[in-house]
Amino acid sequence: MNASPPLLVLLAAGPGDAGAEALLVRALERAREGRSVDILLSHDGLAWAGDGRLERVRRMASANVGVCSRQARDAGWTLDDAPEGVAWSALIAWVRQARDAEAVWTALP
Amino acid sequence: MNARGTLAVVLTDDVGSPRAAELLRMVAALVAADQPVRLVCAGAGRGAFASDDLPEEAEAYLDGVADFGVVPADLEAPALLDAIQGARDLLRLAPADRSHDPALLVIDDDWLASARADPAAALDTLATAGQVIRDN
Repeated sequence: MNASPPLLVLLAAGPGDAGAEALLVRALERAREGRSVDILLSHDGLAWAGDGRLERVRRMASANVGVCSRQARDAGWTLDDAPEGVAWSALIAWVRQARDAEAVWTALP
Repeated sequence: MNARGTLAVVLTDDVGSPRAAELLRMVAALVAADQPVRLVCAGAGRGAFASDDLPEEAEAYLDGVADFGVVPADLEAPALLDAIQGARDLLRLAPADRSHDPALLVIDDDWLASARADPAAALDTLATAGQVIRDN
């Protein structure tokens, strides 16, 4: 059980956004250092699920990276089929962790 | 406990876009989750929310957070740097056609110290960077 404060990452920018890619690399570094990283996909960020890279990141970082996007999973991993953003309830549940987080990083398109 | 809070910075007058709605939705979520948040406008974003022609979604978010005392405030570049210094997290809305140079701007104390030598240039960098994160 990792008791360290989590790092929250809101990915609303998609793959191909170099800054979002760099941000994700930094988040992965934190995960490898043992930090819990909780990534929320929204908007263009849902495309991360589509290209499979985020799943590879999650596997590489073992259990330290969580990806919260039920909508993306249910959408069959394609941006066209996915809703524009995560449900309000999912966003609120994720944001509530911010109080005790190490930081919240956000990538907008 | 996140006492330092989130600084949401608007650096574009394009506040009718889905990207802007995403920022406002995040601000509203932070407020709803009882997290400290400030909404500020700087550079090209100054006065952006003063328009009478905001999309209904943006108006709804702004009205909702205003009930909790979160209202957009215009800041000059030096004051924006002060606000960034005091924030734990940054949430930035930049122009869609920005240069993305640098791809990722990591704002730490060293960057802030150098930025104070030329706040206007720092504001430009904040607006052109692909993504921005605060590193405390």
